[in-house]
This record gives sequence, C-alpha cells and structure tokens, in this order.
Amino acid sequence: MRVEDQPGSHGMPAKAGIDFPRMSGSSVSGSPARGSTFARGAALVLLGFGAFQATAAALRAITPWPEDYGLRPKRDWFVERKDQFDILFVGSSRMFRGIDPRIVDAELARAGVAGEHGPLRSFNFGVGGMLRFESAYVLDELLAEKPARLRVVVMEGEAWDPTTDFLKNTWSSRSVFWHDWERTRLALHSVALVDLSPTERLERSWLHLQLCGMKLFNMGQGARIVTNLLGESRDPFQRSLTHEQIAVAAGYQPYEDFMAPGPTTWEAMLTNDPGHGIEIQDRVRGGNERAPDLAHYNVTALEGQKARVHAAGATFVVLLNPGDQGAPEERALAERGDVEHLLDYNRPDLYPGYWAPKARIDDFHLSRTSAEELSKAVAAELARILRPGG
Amino acid sequence: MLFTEGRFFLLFAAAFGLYWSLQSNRLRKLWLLLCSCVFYGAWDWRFLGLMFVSITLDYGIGRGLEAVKTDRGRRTWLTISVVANLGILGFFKYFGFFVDSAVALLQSIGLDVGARTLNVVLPVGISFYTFQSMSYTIDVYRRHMRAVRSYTDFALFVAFFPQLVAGPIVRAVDFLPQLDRVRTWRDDVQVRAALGLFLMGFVKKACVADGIAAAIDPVYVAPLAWDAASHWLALALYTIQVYCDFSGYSDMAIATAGLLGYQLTKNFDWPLLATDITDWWRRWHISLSTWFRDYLYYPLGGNRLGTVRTYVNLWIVFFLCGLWHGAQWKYVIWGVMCGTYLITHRLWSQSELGSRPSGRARALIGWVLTTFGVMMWWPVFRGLDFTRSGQQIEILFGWSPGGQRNLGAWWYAGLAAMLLVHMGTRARLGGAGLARLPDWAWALGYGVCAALAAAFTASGYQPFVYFQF
Repeated sequence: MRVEDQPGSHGMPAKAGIDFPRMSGSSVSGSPARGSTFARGAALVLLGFGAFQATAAALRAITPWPEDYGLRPKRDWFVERKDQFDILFVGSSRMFRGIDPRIVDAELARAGVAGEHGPLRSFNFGVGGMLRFESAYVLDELLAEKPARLRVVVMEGEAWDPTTDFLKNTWSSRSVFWHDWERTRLALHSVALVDLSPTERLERSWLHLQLCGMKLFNMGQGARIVTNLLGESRDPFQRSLTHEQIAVAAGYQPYEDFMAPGPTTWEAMLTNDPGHGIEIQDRVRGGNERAPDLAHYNVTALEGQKARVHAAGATFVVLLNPGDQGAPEERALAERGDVEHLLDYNRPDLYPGYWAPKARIDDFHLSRTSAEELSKAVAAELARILRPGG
Repeated sequence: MLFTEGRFFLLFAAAFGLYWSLQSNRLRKLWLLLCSCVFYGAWDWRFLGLMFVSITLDYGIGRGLEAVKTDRGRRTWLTISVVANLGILGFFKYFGFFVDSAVALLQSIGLDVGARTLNVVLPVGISFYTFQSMSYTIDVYRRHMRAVRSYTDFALFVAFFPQLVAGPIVRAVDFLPQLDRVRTWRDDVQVRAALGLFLMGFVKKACVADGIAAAIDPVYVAPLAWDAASHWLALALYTIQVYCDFSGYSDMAIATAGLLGYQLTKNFDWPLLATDITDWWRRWHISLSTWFRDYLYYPLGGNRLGTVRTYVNLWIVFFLCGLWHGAQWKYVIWGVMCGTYLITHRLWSQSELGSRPSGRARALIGWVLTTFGVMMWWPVFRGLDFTRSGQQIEILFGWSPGGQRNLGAWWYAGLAAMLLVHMGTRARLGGAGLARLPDWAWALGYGVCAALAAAFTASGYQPFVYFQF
C-alpha cells in the first residue's frame, strides 16, 4: 500500500494500540450537556477522593507507632501508666543513656520535693535517633493522653534543624510517622529559615512534603499494620527494651547494659588518640563561644511547644547534655526568656568530669557513672524549680 | 521521576488539567512536549540535550529521505541515520564496556595497555528512544509512512513522557497519526479503563515487584548463605518480580497516555502463562521483540533463507537483544541463552517427537518446561557477578550445600496466590461484574482500592528495573 494514498498529514491512519476493554459507562462523558457532564465527573472524582481519604484515615488509625529503637514499646508502656508520672524526659539516645529516673526520683525525695500524691516519679522517654521534630511530635502525642500528674517536661536541647538527614533513614517509618500537617508546617518553616541554596531549599521542602504525603496516605505501612495485627511486630535494630526492662529503670538504660564496653569505648579511643578528648572539648568550647545565630532558629516552633506544655499544666525545661558540639542558641534563647529553664551541662570548663576518659562511651553518650552524676545534678536543679517560687 | 512518585502525580495533574482545557491541538502538543521535557529533565537536564540531538537528527534525515528521489540517495540517508543513532547509543552505553573488555583481553595475554576509560554517564531510557527514533527513519525509507513535517510532532513522538524512559517502544506509524486531530474526551478517553489499568500497574510495581525485591535481593547478594529451596523460590519470585516491575510500568504508561487520549501499543500478554519459549517471546516485551523482528530479523532474511540461516538469524537477533539490555557480558550470555532456547524449541517442534503429547497435557508440560527455562536464565541475568551466579547454580542443583537461611513459608503461599491472580486476570474473572457497576460505586471502590494500594507499597522508592536498559 502506497503511503501517498493514505489520509492525514502523516500518511497513515491511527492504528489501535492497547485494547482497552470497553465497559458500560466507562467515560464520565456521555450526557448531552457539557456542563452537567463536568459536574457529574467532578462529583465522581470527589466521591472517589472521599473514599480514598476515609480508607486512608481508617488505616492511619490502626497504623502502629514505629518499633525502631524501641519507640513503640516505650510509648505503650508509658500510656498504660501515664497517670503515675510527674516528670517526663524526652530526647534522643543522649537522654535515654544519660538520665536515670530512679536517681532523679530519689534525689528529689531527699530534697523534700513531693507532689500531692506523694514522692515524684519521672520517666525517661529518650529513644535512639529521636531528633527535635520527632520528639516534638512524640511529646504532643504523649500530652494528648493527658497524663494527670505531669508537672515538668524536660526536652533535650537541640535546634529545629530541617537539614538533618534523618540519620540516613530518610524513608523509614520513623521519618514518616511524625510528618503530620503540624510538624510538616514547622519543618517547612525551618527550611525557610536556614541558610540553604534555592535548590537545596526546594529539595528539602519537597522531601518533607513527600514524607507528609506518605504519612497521610499510609504509604508503605500496610505490612506493618498486618504484622502488628498478627502480633509479630518487632524492632528491626533489636534495641528495644522489653516492658520488664522499661519498668526496672523507668525507661532508662545505661549504655553498658546494651553493649559491653570494648575497644571502641571512649577510654580506649583516648588511649589510642589522646588528643581526641581535648579536640571534642575545644569544639564544645568554641561552639559555645560562637555568636548565636537566632535568625536560623525556629522560635515559633519552640514557642508552640512551650505553650502546649504549659497548657498541660507543666513546666518546660530544656536540658543541654554534655555533648560534642557547642549550643549558644539555646543559651541565648534562655537569656532573652524564650526558654524559661535551661539546664546547661555542656560546659567542659565547669563540668570537666563529663569528658574524662571513664565518663563516656563515645562522643555522644555518657557512661553509667557519668549518667548517675548527671541525673543527680539535674534532680538538684529540678528540685530548685519545683519548690514554691522556683 | 518515577510513575509511583508524588512529583509525578503533581506533574501529571498539571499536564492533564491544562491539556484538556486547551482547545488548540498545536498548543496541546507544545504543552505535552514541555511536560515531557520536565519529566525527562528531572533525572538530569543535560540528558535533554542528547535526546534533542537524536530528535533533530532523525527529523532532518526523515525530511532528507522525503526530498531525495534516487534509491542511492535514500540509502545514504538511512545509513547516516543508523550509524548516527547506533553511534550515540554505542558511545553512551557501550563505550566503557568495550574498552574494559578490550583491556581485560589484552591483560589476559600479558599486555598492560593502561587504558583510561571515560566515565560516561548513561542517559535514562536512551535504548528506548533511540530505537523508537530510528524505526521512524527506517519506516520512511521503506515508504511505510511519509516524513513528518512538524518538528513538534516528531519531538513529541520521541519524547512523549508516558513512554519515554521504559517504553512501550512506539512506532511512528502508530503514534504520529494520533497527533493529527484534536483528541476529545468523549471519543478518545475511557476513564474507567485507564484509571483501572493505572492502579493495576501501580500495584504490580509498587506493591508486588518492590515487595519481592526487598525479600529476594539478599539472596543475590550472598548466595552462599541461603539454602537450595530458597534459591529455587527466589528464581520463581524473580520471574514474578521482573514481570510485575516491567509490565506494571507499561500499564501505567499506557494508562497515562490513555488519559490524554493517546493509545500506546500493548507490551505484555500474560507471558507467565506461555506454553513454549516462542510463545513467551510473543507475549513478553512485545514492542521490543517485534522491533527486532521487523527491523533486524526480517532484513537478515528471517526464515526465508533456509533452516541453518534461520537459526543463525535468531541467534544474532538475541545476541543483540541481550546487548541491548545492558553493557555487560551477563546480558550477552543471557541473550545467547534466549537464542539457543528458541533454536532448540524450533528443532524440537519440527521433529517427530515435537507433536506429542497433545492437548492439555502438552500445554501443561510446555508451561512447566518454559517456566523452568525462564527461571534458569535469571542466575545469569540477575546475578551480581559470575562468581555469585555460579554459586547460585551450584546450590540449586545440589553441587554445593548452601547456607541455612530460608525465605519463609509465607512466600510459597504468596507465589501460588500471585500465579492464581495472574490466571484470574487472564480469564477476566469478575470483569463482567466490574463493568456493570454504576459509576458512583466504581468511584467509591476505586478510592478504597487506591488507599489500600498506597498502604501496601514496599517502603521507599525503588527505581524501575528496566530503566537501566
């Protein structure tokens, strides 16, 4: 067949490709009036979208909290006993491995600080890898349970840093689960504040929006829902505490109980590299002396969190653990009144013991003995805060 | 940008919304071309330049073919097109492979040539759009169609985003005529069919293929750690994975084009139910196998030049088909295996034994043998290197004990369920009932199914297996 004989500018008629099965009413068009066709189509789209949203909401309601690093067992344990605790510590593994509630409670009792129900009880809600936005979400969820006796919330001092790459677990359930509308809005606000190139800003914003979409649509959560219903949920990193372990130390676990000290500990590290400890201390000192850059700090997020803690009838306290970086912003915020109580132990000159060879497991985590020291010091500060007029 | 990503849904919403609100066909095509550039540029905007080099080249050659009247002149234009297209593909896809292979060969005979290889980045989908673009000039040369006058039309034919990076490989004679007239919602779009196909493709890719990948990838990383049963199961599951991955992508591509009023060619026809290896290749990646048939096998003489020449032609076609899949020796070996399978099947079916048994028993035995044969090429195709491919084969046949780890009993049930679903969809079970549903019930059901599909995606995004080809 000669192509010149064919109609159309390309010389060939359209050949049928995929054989779509014909279905009755397979198009939203078909009625004579264009306007009514559009209205009918729009109504069907809305109907479908509504069914999608309703199903997604139902699935969201039965999606368990992530198991990773023991987040969910801790939450479940706490919620079952939420009315037994007066003080709540929230933060990352530095909090988890750094504050022993048993010591805090004992010190407060010795200082004569008690509540209406008797001695004060504290709970350590530190979880490995829980950075600021996640801990803010977790705190809100815990506050939503309305713990009746809650008097103090101690948050780990950390910037609302949206550039942190979720500890290289960008698409994990732990990254998805806190991306509700409110936290996503805060994250986007932080992205707008930090110093990034336009491309990076766009990419970072898009990442948070994607994670929010994944949260809203339960992307990838189906398998977790099923394993949870089958009772087979477990921490993939095997760092979960059992309910019995949580009960023993109210959420705290010294690093030594998780991992026997070995050649990778701080002491061995300093033996091999004596300059390392000095280097860390110098870094903390240098960081502390740096001019605070509050233009990049999401004060709005901090204010919101503080307001929610106050609304729950509790006092908002920020704790700076002895770490490996300076934190001048928190200090500046405290000085201008945005943080009402700052417990600052990130000062090598004032507290050199926290950087001693036996005081740490690694750059970030304290050893058992240091954690006990820090717990006593924090308890003393809390006693001061909780006394009338404190 | 993957079809399962949020940003694709945003791009498509914008493309769809403005496309259908424009009245002018010219503006619509320009808009689709712009959207296609955004889609492709999302990987790396520099790839766009290369694609437009191919587009401009073949557009110009098409015009040249139309202009010259002598056969010699036409052959010259065609030669330029084939050499230029294969040259571009060869440089970007095979340069490093050939240099590395040559260096390795010379080193094996004691010559250290110390050659430097260029770190050439492989543009996404280059194999697909090069073949598509080249088929156009060949069709114009063969006078199967006239050269297209509009540059926009030709650019859109090559760059049309639903099929740009992983097919189906569209023929110009099928697609370009669709650009001649304004597509209408009423006549050219079957909403329920297209949306249903998209959801099915999404489930295949994001739920089934990615879910299987997460389970069996470790088997290929460390074959020695797994027992023989797991290796057999992994081969069967990989058959499902690669089918769902690629046909799922094709489904989404066809559905996306369908929502814009365009038809793409069917790419898969229930290949997992094939009862012989020739049948398999009629059902698997149809747009590629027919491309090789029409533009390579037939020009080589097909089966018209005697038995031996037919086998040689088949072997050449599948050798090149393997090379098309990737610049690695494993794909070449895989292609040779495919060619050998086909030749063996032809020999068998032409023999006296080939006609027995008949009926259902033949179909069943054929299905078992075909499935086994297909599974046996995966250790090479999927294996990370020849050492691990060899380890897997040794464990499969009991020549090596293998490890202790196993994939778990649930996967056997899952495999059986997936095969039953495959057979059910082939038989269109429930299709009549679905078609009778009123639109409101269909919309409600679709919303529920879409939410469930989203929930049951494998966590995280995984690139499509076929993007690498």
